[in-house]
Amino acid sequence: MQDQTNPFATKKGFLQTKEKAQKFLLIFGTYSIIFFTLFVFWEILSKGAPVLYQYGTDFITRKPESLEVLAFDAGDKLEIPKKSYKTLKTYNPDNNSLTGEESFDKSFEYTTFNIEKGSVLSDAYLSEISKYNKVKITHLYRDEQAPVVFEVLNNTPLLLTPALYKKLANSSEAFKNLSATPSKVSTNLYEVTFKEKSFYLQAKTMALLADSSLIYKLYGNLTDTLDDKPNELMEVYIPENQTVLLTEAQHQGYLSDTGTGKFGEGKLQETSVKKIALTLPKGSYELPHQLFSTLLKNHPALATSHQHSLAKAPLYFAIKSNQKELRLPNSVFQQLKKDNPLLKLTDINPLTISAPFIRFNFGQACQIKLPTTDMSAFKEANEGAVNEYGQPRLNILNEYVYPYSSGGVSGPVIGTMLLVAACMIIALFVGVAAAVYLGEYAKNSGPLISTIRLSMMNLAGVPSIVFGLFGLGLFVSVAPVITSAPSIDDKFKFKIFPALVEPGLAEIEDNRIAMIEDDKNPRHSLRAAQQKGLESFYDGWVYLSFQGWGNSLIAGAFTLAIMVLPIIITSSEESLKAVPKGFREASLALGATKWQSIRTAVLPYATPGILTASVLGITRVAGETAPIMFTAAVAAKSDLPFSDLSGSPLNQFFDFMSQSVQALPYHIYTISGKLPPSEHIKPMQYGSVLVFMIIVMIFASVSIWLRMKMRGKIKW
Amino acid sequence: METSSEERPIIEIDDFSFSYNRGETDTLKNISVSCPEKKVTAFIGPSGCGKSTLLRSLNRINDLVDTACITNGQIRIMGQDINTPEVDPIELRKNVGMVFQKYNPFPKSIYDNVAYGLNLQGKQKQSDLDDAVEKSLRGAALWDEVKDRLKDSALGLSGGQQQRLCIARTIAVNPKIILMDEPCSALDPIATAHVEQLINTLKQEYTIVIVTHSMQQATRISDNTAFFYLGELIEFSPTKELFSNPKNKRTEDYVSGRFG
Repeated sequence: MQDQTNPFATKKGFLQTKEKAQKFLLIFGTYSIIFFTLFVFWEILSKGAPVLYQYGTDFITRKPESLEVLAFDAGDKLEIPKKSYKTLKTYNPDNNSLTGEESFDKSFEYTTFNIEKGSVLSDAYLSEISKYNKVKITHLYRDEQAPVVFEVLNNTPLLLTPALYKKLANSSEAFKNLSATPSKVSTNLYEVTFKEKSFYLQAKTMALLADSSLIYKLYGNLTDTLDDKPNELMEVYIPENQTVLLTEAQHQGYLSDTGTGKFGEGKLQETSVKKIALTLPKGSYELPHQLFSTLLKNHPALATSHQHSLAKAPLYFAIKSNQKELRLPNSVFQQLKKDNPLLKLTDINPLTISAPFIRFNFGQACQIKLPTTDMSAFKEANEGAVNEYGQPRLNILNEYVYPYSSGGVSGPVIGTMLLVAACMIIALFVGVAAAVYLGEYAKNSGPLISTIRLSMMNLAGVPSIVFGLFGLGLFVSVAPVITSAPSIDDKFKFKIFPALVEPGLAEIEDNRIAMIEDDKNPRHSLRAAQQKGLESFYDGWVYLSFQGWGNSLIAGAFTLAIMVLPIIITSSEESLKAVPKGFREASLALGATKWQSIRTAVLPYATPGILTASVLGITRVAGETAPIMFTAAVAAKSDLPFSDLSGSPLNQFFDFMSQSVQALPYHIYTISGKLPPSEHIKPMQYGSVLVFMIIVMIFASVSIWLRMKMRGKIKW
Repeated sequence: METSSEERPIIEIDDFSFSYNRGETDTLKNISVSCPEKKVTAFIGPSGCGKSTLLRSLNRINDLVDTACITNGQIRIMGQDINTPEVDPIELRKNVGMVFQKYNPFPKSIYDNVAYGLNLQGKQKQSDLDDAVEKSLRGAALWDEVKDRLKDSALGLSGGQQQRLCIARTIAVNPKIILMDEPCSALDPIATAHVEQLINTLKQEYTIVIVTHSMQQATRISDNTAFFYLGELIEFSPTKELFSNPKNKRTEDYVSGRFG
């Protein structure tokens, strides 16, 4: 019998089965890791790699863009810039209806010219000039009295107040010679008293009240809200008690508003006003800008020839350029000349520039996909082109736009790199300093040191979204800023020293700065800015203003730095500990001071460990979405962070650090979580994730390589 | 030994007690030893008897231990009490160099190791540095072996060479006194012989205090020997006398190998 021959034979039974089941569970748990890893990697690789293959380097070098899908009728001899044609091929690899491609050089007619110094121009034309030329345009000042020449397109009856008529007649011969008839018009005005208070009114009411003499501060963007939902309530702040006269329409609107905090019906004041009636005949007129805009405001029906809005007074400007002369496309130049007959232009010459283009045919009706920039270049190239039957060559049947579904990830990749770089500089400085202090100087743990260690451990366990909110609360909204134009919404501010330079006109208008005469009391300046409805003020002083850094690169970098700090400190301390005690003793025995011994005999040998840890920190930082969501990242940004910087290097640095950036994890979140799913956005999702994974893997390999290299080099 | 103590000894340890745990127990108890200039003084005794502690007190490297404190007596080096606040430990250590039990060259080149102490004192002229490095390496009898590979890593040297490099590194800063904490314990007999030879040469110029476990080594190289046991100084006398004619019973037991 077996039992007798082998006393150690396996005993069959329940225990053994149980043992086997347990072992199987453990094996299953272990091997499922491989399964999950394979699944995730396979999913990303199999769907992402074709995307990268199809778009090539464009996927890294282009910005995220909208994808336009257009359906066309068959068309002959369509033109497209050579560069866009390449993109067309990339985005429509299997389109067979493209035939008869031929290259040619298309010429464009430009006009070169110079503008005499001391000229005035409207904002719109200045931006046209900077669009076609490499120039730096400085806005000097606006001139309300600058003459504006405009053409009235139809004979228009006008009803003017006597004061306005008098001014018009004084400044223009043409108005003086018109036959004017005095008449009487009765209007009802309502006297309403507004008390100092914050309350809510509908957007459409605010649009009416904008023309009254009421002083208020409105939170939010009126024009945007007005377009989307005119019934939306908006917060209004009245800084002081006021009594204003409202017109019939304003009063009606105000009374019928559904918002809160109305002050009751106004007192009726029936008045009859003397007006002067005249008919403005068709023709050309010249008026100072101020009068011109008053006239337009009172008579919106007056149709004038101006291509661009003249809401703001024309600018005196200075042009700095490396080019000898400026250039504009012929059509734009003609319009410029027509709209600004008083502008003194010199050296006007024609210029022909040719660019490589491709001509091709659509053999049949088809659908093509292109990123917005290429699609608009295509449309522009064929605008107005007709075939031999007088039909437009490009006949668009249908048009769809899919946001974020084309282009590449250049902005997010660069943004992420900047965030990581800035974050690691901050985190390594603070982290290594803290590790050296904790590990080398503060060895005997007092209550303070224990508190530091405890808070570090707590930091390590905080969820990343909390860091995001923390960054929002501290860096974005209350961090100190040294500025000569403090925001009126800051927490508090101190005067430091008199300002050296006044803000330029462009800055004043962009940042909505109230220019205030040097006032001893900042509260008066603040009040004045509030009453003007502006966002910041300049009163000749530089302030330390606790207004926060805004949604910016630097705020995001600090937030991320605080997040990785525990990792950096802990691993740096470990690396410092791993350096043999003998090095410290030997160094001290040779007469080194404590810091000398740390600097020359400890830190160099701890560097590999610190570097490894920081590379691991980088991968963590690069992947975080939550902390940058509120502090640094924006979903869409048209320019790369390097463009659009001006001023002194220091100024440029501050501008650079205080801009918001796109970031890869946030971009992935946007395209996969916030936009409606479509077949066109899918490739972007997988492509972006694959790029992201490749970046993280590069960092990880660098970390491993560093560790191996350093370990081989430094040993004891 | 015959001509000893005509002048004042360079190290005077006077009734010195030392504790590693804030004075609760004394590791060293009322030690009094004086080491004459340009002689070799050996500290012997079983492990844990406090000889290394005493050595490390001589250049205040024990300051690194937070809980260490001196409970009694004083140490005077060149007539100055070294544990007063007026004494800068950094200046002290420049004059009292130390060689450790485990040779610990920095993971740098041989040249940089020797120049390390000089570089700490500020920027030096390259030619001065070269001279000092050569002088120190010759002083440590290492020059001929390494002169062709000064830029190579010090870790590529053999154990004995590394220990001599540490000695060269120490004498590069021109100390008056060199402390050696069992310098040969990690070396084979041939390397040990080299180091012992070196010590014999070095005592022409430097005062040497050496801690050793090997009684043969003590007899070979030292002029005076102190025997410690459990934190107490049992006997201190010229080496020949201590080994041939010990006054104390415990010394006799130890040197004759009956314990320890």
